[in-house]
Amino acid sequence: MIRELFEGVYRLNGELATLNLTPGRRVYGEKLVTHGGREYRLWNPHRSKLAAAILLGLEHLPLGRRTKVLYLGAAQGTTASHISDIAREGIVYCVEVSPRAMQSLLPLAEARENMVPILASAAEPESYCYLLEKVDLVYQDIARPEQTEILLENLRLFLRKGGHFIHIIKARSIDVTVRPNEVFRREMDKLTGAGAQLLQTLRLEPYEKDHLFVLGRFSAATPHKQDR
Amino acid sequence: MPSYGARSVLGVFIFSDRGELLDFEPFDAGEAAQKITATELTPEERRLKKRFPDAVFEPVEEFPSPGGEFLRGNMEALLERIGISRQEYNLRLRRVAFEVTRDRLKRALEKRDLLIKQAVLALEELEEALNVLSSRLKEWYLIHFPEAEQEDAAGIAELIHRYGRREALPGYEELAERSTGAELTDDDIAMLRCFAGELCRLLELREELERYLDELMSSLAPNVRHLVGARIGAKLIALAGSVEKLASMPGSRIQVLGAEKALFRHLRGRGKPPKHGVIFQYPAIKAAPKWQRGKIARALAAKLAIAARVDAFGGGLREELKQRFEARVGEIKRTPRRKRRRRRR
Repeated sequence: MIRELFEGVYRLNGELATLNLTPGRRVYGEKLVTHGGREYRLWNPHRSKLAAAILLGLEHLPLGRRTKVLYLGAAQGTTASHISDIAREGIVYCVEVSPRAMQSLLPLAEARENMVPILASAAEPESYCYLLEKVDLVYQDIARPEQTEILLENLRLFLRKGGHFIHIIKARSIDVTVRPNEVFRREMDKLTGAGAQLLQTLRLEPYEKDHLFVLGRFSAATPHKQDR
Repeated sequence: MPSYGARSVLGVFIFSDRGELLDFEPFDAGEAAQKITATELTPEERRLKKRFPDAVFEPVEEFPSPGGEFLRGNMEALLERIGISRQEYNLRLRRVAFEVTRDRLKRALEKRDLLIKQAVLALEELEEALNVLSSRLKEWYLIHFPEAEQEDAAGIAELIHRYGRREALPGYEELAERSTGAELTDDDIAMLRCFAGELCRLLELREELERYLDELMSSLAPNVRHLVGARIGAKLIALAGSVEKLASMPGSRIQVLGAEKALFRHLRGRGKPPKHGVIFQYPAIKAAPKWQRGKIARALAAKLAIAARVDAFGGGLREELKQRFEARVGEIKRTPRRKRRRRRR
């Protein structure tokens, strides 16, 4: 039993899966399943917030074969590897600040020709701007209090006009003293205030506590911050 | 007329204020990674500056700049203009990104392994101090309560700190009543409790240090840690100087790290070669009969050499190293002892 939910995203015997770009290789201990002569990697919603969002009713996934993605906070590459399975002929720029995580991400990126590893802080785009071009999707999953500001700056710099973004708001990383709903409201206000259009929001319970998954679109006015 | 320059993995592009490509200076492919991350203008940019005196360059002179915007927004068209295929660009991009990232990774981790050395030495010195101080405390307290002789020195610190006088120790009521120890004044006891309290703090510090060292090791030398544990691994790194130095050593050198005295005695022609240095602390070596220790130490050191290289030059955790070593230990244990031949001098 196999059904394609979105381009490159499958439901295989009831479980979420992507077509393995590097057959025979596992990334984080996920199961490999062969179906119809092709190898799939099962996609665990407890390990990947994007998988959780898909299972919880995401309506649109702006990700296809040739999509260029900027992934902020790629960590060890769990979710990024599935995105790389889907955007087989695109590019996945993986920005990660932790050297420790980058150590695990490097061999993964070596094996996957569409991955570009970048050891840098997403808060300092001047340290990686020269490796990028405009992308179709910015995926943000970093645990910093100013994560929304960081996302917006990256959107202005690197998202093509009318491109999409996925923003995962971690209430507990932003302010533990305020109720999650209040944090979510504030962060969404920042997004819409900056001109972003929110398409869908999803709470990620029961897979993740106090996380809000936000899908949106953004058309940047050309940035002209002078004299820096 | 203002113009705007911007860097890419291919070289430096320069645009008019309306985004037309004015000029392009390519980077030499081998140097792209250094040039692209340079914090000052590269020779290519300086050459362009001569031709376009008003030019502003991203990211050195301005960020973000319209130049970067023109570059990043029109990559396909620009590639076509300068006659480079998308495939070629992607290859170059990946090559440069890997180089930049490996370089930053190296620099980020390079200095951190100095912390391992300091942490493991601090831990050792702390343990020495703890031994000295806790036996002093015990001897001191035994004046008051000689019947507590059996108690271990660390345990006694905790008891004194919490309860003080022998009569107050839970579980010692009977012994305390019949005690032949001296009566102490409140001041004497207060001093003892204060001392014991500080000792308890040091015991906590030791645990904290152990946790910290373990964390450092999992981040900087996960394979060495997996093979011999954080403690022995850290000691080896401390003796070698850094993870990279350890990685550049042959197994035979790692085998005798920490046994320098015996090694040099041997090299001067006196005495037998040492079988093991700090790796003797590894349980499988310590517990083995003497005639097997050298073999196990040799096998372990060889695997450690591989583990250190994986750690120093990137490549995740290789659990099979330990499995193979354990299989080898099994083999050694099964092999019967060979008859000893007469030693020749």
